[in-house]
Amino acid sequence: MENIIEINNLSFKYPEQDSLFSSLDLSIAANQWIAIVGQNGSGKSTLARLIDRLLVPDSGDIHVAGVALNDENLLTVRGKIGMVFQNPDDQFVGATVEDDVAFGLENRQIDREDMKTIVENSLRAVGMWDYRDRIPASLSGGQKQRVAIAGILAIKPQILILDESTSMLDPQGRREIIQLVKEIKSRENLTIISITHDIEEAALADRIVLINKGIVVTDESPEQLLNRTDFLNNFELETPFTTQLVTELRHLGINVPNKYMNDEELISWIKKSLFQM
Amino acid sequence: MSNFIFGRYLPGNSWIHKMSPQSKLLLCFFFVFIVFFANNYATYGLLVVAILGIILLSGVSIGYFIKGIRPLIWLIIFTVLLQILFSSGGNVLWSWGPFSISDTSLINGGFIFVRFILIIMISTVLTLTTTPLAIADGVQTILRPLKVVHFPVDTLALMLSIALRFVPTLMDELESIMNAQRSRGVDFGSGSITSRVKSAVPLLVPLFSGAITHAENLSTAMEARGFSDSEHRSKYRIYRWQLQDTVSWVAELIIFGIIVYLRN
Repeated sequence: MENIIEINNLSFKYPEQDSLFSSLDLSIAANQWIAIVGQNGSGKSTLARLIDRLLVPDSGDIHVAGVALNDENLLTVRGKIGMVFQNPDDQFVGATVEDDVAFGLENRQIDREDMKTIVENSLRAVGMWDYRDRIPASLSGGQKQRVAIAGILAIKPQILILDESTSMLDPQGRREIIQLVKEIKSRENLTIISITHDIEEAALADRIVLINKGIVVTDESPEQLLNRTDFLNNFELETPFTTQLVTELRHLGINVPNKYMNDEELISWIKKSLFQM
Repeated sequence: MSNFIFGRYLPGNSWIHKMSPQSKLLLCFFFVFIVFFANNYATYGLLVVAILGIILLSGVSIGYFIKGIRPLIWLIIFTVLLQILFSSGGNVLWSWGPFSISDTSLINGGFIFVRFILIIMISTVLTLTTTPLAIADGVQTILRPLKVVHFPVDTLALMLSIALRFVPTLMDELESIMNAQRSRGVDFGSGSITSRVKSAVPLLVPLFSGAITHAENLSTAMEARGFSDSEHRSKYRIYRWQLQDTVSWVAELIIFGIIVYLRN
């Protein structure tokens, strides 16, 4: 698998603050779902902004889909990356749903007739076509994030960065957005980088990168990471519900295999062991 | 806020709804211009008939227009009274000290009243039948010639549409800030003027800092979506000149001609 994002020797600091990253290396393979987790102030969001060159690194280089990230090919690279931010209200540029989806296309000077088809297809893909005339104030948080995703689908990126996109949503909206991301990932062959506090969301990833104080602490699969309760607690991360349940079961003297299981796996394990008894 | 009609949009599919916003805006300005030409019974009569026709064409019930006038009624009455009581000339019917009422001042007062009503009604027709977004687009189209003198028309239009888009968002925010401050014991809208002004501070400061945060996040999001400058962009929404526009312009020019002919 080729690496769609290569970060070499990256360093960055905000003015009048301590250095955030010094010589960070990270590579992300194409079509992977990677979750970046870490405490507040660990540099997760900054990393996303550096990848999209919304922030300029002090040194080091970033390659996105083989293209070196610099001021000349800034727009080329941004065309490959779609970002959904945290606050659904703050990224809604258009006055209506339709206009917002068209915003990215207008920036690329797409012809109006093509724009109409693309806007319709993108809105249908996220199930918001019926809401095309609505103004943002009349939409729920989850619906606004759907529109944001539609706006990104319209420009056909290779990489989708979710910068804590579900953190301001209710559990229902959060589930819907995660479901939608899952669907479009397989349909559009996207690479997904999700920056999140939500460990259940991270559990869906192929790979979890734990960042602390600008350093990659661990970089492993959810199966490996998510049953290490004490380790996760050290970084103020919660453990998923299944891991908590497994811990409780162990306390009760039940011998549960020492590996991470998601909901279905745990349910089938419990069923199986009940039949054995 | 809910009973404030002026500046609200009512969706519909009438003759006037179908017109392009740029021509509606210009026609509205032109109508106001014509109103100042009228100066006798015949011309005012014609304009009243015209505005009634326009209201019929807009398909909006007349009740909305009356509601639109209500918040301005005291201003109108005040101005009309000043006109009646302080103008001189004509046969004096009644006088007391500096005040006097004459037949001409009564007629002039009546004209001013009609003038107010006409101007409010035509602008209410404009706002009731045109979305704020369309008005912003209309302004952009009308200002396009200013590009010759390097006036940043596209930037202005973008600012206008973002401002309009954030009005409801900021209103919601203001309400939650107000409630939050109320829950902490701030009392709005009572007490002396100074205490009222002081109580606005815990509203304005968070609202402003919130607006700055919005602006910062929005500009990041816009950049991430490939926005580089407002000039080199294509346009998703285009309002074309309609048959209705041509007909309305012809009709309004005819009315203008008749009024110029009929006025004293």
